[in-house]
Amino acid sequence: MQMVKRIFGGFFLLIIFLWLVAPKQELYFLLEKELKKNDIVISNERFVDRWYGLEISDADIYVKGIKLAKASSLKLHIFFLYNSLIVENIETEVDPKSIDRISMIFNVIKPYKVAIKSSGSFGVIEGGVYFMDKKLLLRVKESKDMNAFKKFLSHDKKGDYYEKYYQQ
Amino acid sequence: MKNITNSKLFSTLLFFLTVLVIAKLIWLIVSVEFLPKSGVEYSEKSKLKAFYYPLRLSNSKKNKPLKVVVAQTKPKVVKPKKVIGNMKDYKLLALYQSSELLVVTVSKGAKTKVLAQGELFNGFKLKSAGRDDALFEKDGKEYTLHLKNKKPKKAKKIASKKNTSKKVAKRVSASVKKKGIIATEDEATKIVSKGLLSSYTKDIDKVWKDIGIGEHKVNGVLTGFKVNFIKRHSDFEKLGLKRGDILTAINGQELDSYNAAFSFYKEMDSIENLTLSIKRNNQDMELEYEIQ
Repeated sequence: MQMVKRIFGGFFLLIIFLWLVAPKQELYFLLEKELKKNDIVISNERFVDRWYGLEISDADIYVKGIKLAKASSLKLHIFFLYNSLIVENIETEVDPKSIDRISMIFNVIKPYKVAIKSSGSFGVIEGGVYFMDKKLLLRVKESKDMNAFKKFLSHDKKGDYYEKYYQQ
Repeated sequence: MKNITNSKLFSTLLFFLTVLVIAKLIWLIVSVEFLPKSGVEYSEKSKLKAFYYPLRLSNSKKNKPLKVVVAQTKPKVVKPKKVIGNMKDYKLLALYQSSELLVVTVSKGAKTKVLAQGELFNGFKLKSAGRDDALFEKDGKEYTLHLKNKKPKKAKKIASKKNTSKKVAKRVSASVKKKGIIATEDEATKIVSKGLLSSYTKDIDKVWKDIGIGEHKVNGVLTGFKVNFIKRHSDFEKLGLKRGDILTAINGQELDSYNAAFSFYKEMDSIENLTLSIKRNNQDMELEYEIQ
């Protein structure tokens, strides 16, 4: 019995230590590499390594080679079962000129998607990247100044939404 | 004898340390084998050429594609000097100018010579060059030679007589302002008003109402942007663009990325001349415009 306890205790402890000593910066580099495949580059950022995650500041965000935004703060939290990337205070080169917050969360309870929520002058958008369907779906929850997006949105009984399928 | 160390505590501590070392080892292996050592940084490609010089090396207007010479940096602006004489019988065939180099091709009759700055041709020393002309010196006198086939800038071409040139220039300028785009005498170069360009830079939606552009890839590599539709009687149609055209370069800057296209869009207000390199029916062509 003592041995079983030790094994379970040891396993639990290993998970805790794996989380604590995780090379967060390198994991972030891996995320950057994956984003690069979709022509998204986060550049010129500064890192602060925290025990619970990584804090990044003053990052320039390029999409397809075009500098689209500058984010003053990115917080990457890696808990394995619950991982999040929160981007705050984003100034963009195109409309909408500012986005207050974008959060992307991967939760092991819902392993089939990365949940996305964003708020700004345009209102509130919620949705996610659905791995099974290989699509990005964003629904407009609160609409304010949506003129910049209107032409990209579709409409159904639940309201306005943006949908894009991707190839892996 | 009493133990000075608690063996249970020691064993627990050792157990913790062992697990910690295992965790570290796992990450070390993962890092070495699978994780990248550095992040992805954006590397900027060369920006839109500050100054672009389209150069015709042939007399035939139909003989397209045109050869182009691209200056990397904005050349020094040569202030107009008092021209004492003319180089009759001499022709300036080509001109290349960058921050480090100035090369011209001059001909007299059947004789043609390529000159670098400071070199002599029949006693004429190449001093400097402007956008469309080269300045020579001989016996303390200065001579200007205009580029062959290059239309003298803006309204100058339209009226050669001194007493009518200003009136014509004004009329052209007013016409450009009114219509946005007009063709020059020979229709090889069109004149586009700055106001028209600004109206598009201020309102990007206006662009997409008048023209539809999509990626053009060859073997998965972006080589330009294809014109999918053009609204009838729109400014883009007046510019001479047609459905199916593939825009491959603007002012010498290859459109091989979205950034190149976006850079041009951002700098559109500051350009003075515009050359669109296009591929139409598998033939390379260039459309030239002057911005007034």
